[in-house]
Amino acid sequence: MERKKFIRRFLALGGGAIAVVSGVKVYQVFKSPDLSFLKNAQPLIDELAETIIPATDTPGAKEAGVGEFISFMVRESCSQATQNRFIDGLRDLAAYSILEYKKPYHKCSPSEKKAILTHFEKKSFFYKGIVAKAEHKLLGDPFFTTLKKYTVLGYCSSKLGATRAFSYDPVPGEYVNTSLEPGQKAWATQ
Amino acid sequence: MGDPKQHINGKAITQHTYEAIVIGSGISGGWAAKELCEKGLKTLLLERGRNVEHVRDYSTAMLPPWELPHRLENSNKDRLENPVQSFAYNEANKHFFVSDKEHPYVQESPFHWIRGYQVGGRSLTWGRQCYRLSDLDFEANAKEGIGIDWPIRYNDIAPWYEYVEKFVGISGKAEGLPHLPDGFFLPPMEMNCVEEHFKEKVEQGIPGRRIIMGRTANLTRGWENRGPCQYRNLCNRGCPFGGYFSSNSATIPVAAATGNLTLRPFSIVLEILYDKDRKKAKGVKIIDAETHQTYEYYADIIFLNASTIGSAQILLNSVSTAFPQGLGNSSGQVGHNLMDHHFRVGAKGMYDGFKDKYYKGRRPNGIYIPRFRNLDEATRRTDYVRGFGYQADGERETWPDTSKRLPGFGEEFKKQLTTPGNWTMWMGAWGETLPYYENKVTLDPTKKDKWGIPLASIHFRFGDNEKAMRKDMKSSAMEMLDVAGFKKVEGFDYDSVGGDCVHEMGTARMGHDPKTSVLNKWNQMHEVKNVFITDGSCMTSSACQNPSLTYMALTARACDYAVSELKKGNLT
Repeated sequence: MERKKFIRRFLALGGGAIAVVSGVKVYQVFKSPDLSFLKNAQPLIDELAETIIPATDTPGAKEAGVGEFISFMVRESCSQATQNRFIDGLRDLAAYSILEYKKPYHKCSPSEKKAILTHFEKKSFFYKGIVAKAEHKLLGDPFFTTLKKYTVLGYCSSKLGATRAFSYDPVPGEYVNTSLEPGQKAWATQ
Repeated sequence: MGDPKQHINGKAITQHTYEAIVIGSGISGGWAAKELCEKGLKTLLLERGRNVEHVRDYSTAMLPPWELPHRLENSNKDRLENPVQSFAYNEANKHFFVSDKEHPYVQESPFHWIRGYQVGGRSLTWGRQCYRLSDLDFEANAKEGIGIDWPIRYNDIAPWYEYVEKFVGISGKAEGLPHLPDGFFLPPMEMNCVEEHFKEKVEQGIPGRRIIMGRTANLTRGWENRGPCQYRNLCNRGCPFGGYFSSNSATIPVAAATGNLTLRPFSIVLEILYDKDRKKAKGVKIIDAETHQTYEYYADIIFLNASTIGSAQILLNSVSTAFPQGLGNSSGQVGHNLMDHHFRVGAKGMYDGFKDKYYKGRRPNGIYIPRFRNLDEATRRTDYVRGFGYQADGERETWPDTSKRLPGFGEEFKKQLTTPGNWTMWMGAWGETLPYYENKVTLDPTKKDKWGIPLASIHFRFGDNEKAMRKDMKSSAMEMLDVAGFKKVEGFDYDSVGGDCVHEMGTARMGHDPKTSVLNKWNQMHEVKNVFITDGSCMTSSACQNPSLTYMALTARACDYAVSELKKGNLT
């Protein structure tokens, strides 16, 4: 299996090399994660989720309660490495906001928030394709990847998201071909 | 709620003698119970797990996504406690899968044994695709000198396919393909625009290739007081509308209505008891899963439907002076020749068009591409024998796909996320696996479960034929998508671990010769004439079609034979 061979080779590179090139603090990834931090960071997580899916003519992530869901899933469903990278990411982001804009994230303007999150999104794209898969396996997911993944999952499957931003049809009763009406929303469930 | 063991007839099980015992209430056991009860036999149906009553016990069936705390994702706890089952289950159906911790087995090599220990077994969570086998399948072993010959041909089973199809209710369309015979069908489901396009282009572009609507045990109209399907695509939570076939929705209620059925949940069969003077099985010994008390039940005939691995385990554990290697196992074949289809290989692509088309409803079915390799001399391959079929499905991307593809965030991201995405097609191949003697279930010599039963130990590897076939399974999928004008065509071949397909077969195969097989052409044990085995363990080869329909047909056929033999006095 090519992928396995690749991961072995990737491992053989050694943690040091990985840490230098990707900015991932390998020595910190395997520590016991400070999950209690998530509670303190809840307002920040709520803000970040809202930046990813803002209120428009339909509710945003904040109103849909997505922030709490993100923290819940980081605790319940992520590997230790991903948990550590998420928590470190929150800390880094809070610090970056102060350093660059001299104020905490929630006080930043929409364009400043966008710039900050774009910075962290770029960091998450360091690896692509098969390398990203190996990274995911060994070092967990980057901060932004986790944030976006659970914002999307939490929002799209929330009651407000599913029923207002999407079309939710619990009992369709039929499967038929239709025309797509102008402005028609996607189905909430598959 | 009362004692669940008194279920259905509402009276305590003080009776220990029946006319028939059926071991296992999954898709084939349910059929055995129905047929035997309808033929007037007082029948005891034993199930090792809890009871699941149709509708009443489908606790998650109507939950909207937001009422599932993890929104269907598995947690770290799931992966830790259920490393095997969590591959197959999600938050909404995990109550229909066993706990790996409570039900251990030994993997001598990686094999995922996916199980559901409850009334209805895996008929609650099955994939529902129903395809007949043909003589291409029944003759293959004999023609190629692989394994042993099937003792039946298509003509032997054809009327029984029809018989079960008429009760199950299978939606589909007659296509006139000799190697994928037509059956009795309810109206087919609809293809969507991209599937119609794919069908037209592939059938034009590749001579002989056929694209058909999937044949599924989902009801496109009301049938036998069940259904119709409501197109929710939540089948594996149990369907409160009775929209698909399961033991719980269909066969067990009919069996119960005869007044001849006694259902006993929490009944783990330790062994089938053998009477060496009469050369017949006299009954079974069970252990109550909850109280750990043992009981014996007696009957004239026994149907063993505990699943391919479970049935082998029971036979191997049924040791007597007459059968030191396990009941009816003088051939030494019990537990051997374990098969599972190999899959998780195929291709996907994107179609740039039909932007103004969409659909309503969630179809619990896709399209099917019947086998097209090694049908005749013209389609003969030099690199492998047998073949594969594809299940495929076209749809417009929704948020789980678009969110992975779309970079960025904010208003524009949200707008694209909530708008129907590109049309895409996913195609996965299901391939035939040859019977290898080395792939086997044995009993672990030392390890036991909490009821004192030796653990099933599984050794399984796919062979060179499967590996060679997979290359074609991937490249043929890519070829078809190319021919139909799809873009961004990507082949895939993920690790397919044995058991993942949940199509285990072959551990008590049918054959002509008692020296090389366990069952005769009636699914009757060569050596113990009143024991019949009609679950996946009877399969002499695996074909590439989804196998449950064949188990059901063989079960009905074997019941008919067993009762007629019983009446002639040949089984007592």
